[in-house]
Amino acid sequence: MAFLDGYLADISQFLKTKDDEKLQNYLRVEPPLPDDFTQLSLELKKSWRDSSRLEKHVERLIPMSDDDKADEGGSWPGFLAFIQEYLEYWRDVNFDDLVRTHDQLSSLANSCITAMSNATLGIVLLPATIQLCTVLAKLATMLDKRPDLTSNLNTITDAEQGERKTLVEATAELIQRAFTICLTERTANRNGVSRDGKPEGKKVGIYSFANMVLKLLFQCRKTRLANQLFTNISANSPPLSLYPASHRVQFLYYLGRYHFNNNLFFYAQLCLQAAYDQLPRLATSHRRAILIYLIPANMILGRFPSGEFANRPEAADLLPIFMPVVAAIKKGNMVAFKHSLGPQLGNEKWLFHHGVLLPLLSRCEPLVWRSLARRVFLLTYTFPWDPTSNKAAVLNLSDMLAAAQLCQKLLEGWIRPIDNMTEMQNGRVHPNAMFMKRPSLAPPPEGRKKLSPKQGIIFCNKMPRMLDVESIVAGLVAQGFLHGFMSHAQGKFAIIGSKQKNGPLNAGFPSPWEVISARAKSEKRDEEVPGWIQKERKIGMGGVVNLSGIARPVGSGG
Amino acid sequence: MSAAPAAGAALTTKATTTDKSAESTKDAKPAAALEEDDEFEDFPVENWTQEEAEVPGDNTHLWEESWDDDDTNEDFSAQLKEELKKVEAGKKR
Repeated sequence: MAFLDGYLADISQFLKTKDDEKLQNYLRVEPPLPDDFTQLSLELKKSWRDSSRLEKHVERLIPMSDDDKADEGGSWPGFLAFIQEYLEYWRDVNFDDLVRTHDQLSSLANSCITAMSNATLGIVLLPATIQLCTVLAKLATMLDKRPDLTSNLNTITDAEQGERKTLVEATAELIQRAFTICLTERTANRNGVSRDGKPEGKKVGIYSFANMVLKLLFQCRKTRLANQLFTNISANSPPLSLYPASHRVQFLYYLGRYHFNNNLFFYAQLCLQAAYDQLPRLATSHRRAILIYLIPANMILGRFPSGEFANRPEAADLLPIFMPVVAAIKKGNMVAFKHSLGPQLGNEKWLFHHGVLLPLLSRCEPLVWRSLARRVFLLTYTFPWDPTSNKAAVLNLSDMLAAAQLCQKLLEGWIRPIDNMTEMQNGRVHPNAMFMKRPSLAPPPEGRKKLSPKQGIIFCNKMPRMLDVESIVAGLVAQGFLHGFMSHAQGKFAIIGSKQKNGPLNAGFPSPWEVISARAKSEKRDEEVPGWIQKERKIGMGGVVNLSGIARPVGSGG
Repeated sequence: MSAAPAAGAALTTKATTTDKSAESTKDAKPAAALEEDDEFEDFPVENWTQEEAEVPGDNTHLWEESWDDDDTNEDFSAQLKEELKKVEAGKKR
């Protein structure tokens, strides 16, 4: 009996002295633990089976705080309820039954968060709440990978609630409550930043909880649920730069992936690059995890990994996956592009698993078309003899059509039949072979390869027509990747501004990154990324004014 | 009761140990490797300085912005040239 009494007396003392670190050490929930916890557990099992008796005992040993001594810490009803549940947890927990342990921990975390929400005294419980939620999140993640343990649980949840909410999702929701409490806490100073430039009060915990929630939401692939979290952060958070490096990097990683998932690649690139730049150089696995999304985000924006990555261990196994795609884009080789993202190179599954396959396929394709148009122009255009010629440089759409059809034929496995005129006996070639007309490509004898919708140039085995090519070229002009205009009547694309830009290649085919980044700048997307607080919020017209330091709610005393 | 030193292994470690033994049979599956790729582990330390993040070498040119390739002496360009010649010949006919 004496052990529990001593334990509760210590806790009462920590509350009085507001010693959150010692309190956190006393409120641990996972083994291995010092023998003291075993002793506590045994005593609870032996003598405190009756919860109402336990409740009274706790109330007696941890007295409520005295309102008159405002500076001194103390206990409050929510805390007592939590401590009772904590003791019951140690009395009843069985670590061999992980699903039940998760259930007990969820309930305990819930009551801990409620206790932490106390406006004046709750902050002493913040480190313990972070500790408890961290364990809960880890356990939920682990259970998510063990469907053999949770399959029964899921069916029960389904039947009761009529909706499918997984264990991970429910845990994320629970921890999000703690996040919201920290985020929306009223603080004495404006913007939640204290005079020493640090986040004030419980706002210290914002990104600890946010990162836990994000990790769980990405784990259960319900990233759209993160929308609310980012919106709330945008409205209430102090600048991210005031938080420790690990909080910043983790948050920017998830925010970057969130923007990537929403096809906002410019934002994704900004967040992921900032996360990458702030990581310790020895954190190779973290750096690699970021590059999995940072490289494709940049590729989609028209920027490719430079040679510098060859010296970086984190990129060693990623470059062989992405560089064939890059090489194909540079050459305008649609066949190599489709193969680099298809089953041919064996990376398709890996890319799909990470959610970068479809964005790369659909978003990089315009870049391949642009390079192909540039290549066709390079091969067909005859530069004028007269440098003062005012004739516009043109690309014939019929040439583009021939190029598109060639790509489709190669994808379908068309072959060039053996030419009896040039191929002679014993492997010899006719001496004038290079001057002789070679036979055209023909479908393979076993029939054309059946292509899936994304494997074909336009769609499956559809052979590109002039109408398709015109719409592709018009699309490139509209996106700014081709600079000029298209004449449907003449079947030509004419380049504008060759003289000013030092030649038709520079004028007609601007660098995609320049086009994309200029557009982002003109739309001021480079200044502010949704969800990433870079500056202190300014309170101006239409903003919410935090009056907590000036006015107090009615009946709050003082 | 004394304040305990920092916890070493965790409840989840116990769980992962059982997890690993259960998974040892299906280790060969690539799915396991894919799952590992998703992990963005918690950091062992909470804070560090920006100096620790500086990588020696060129950090300002990580991304290639002008990459147009004008080399037309490879296989794809050769095939393309041939097709374009045919278009040209067709026009002249």
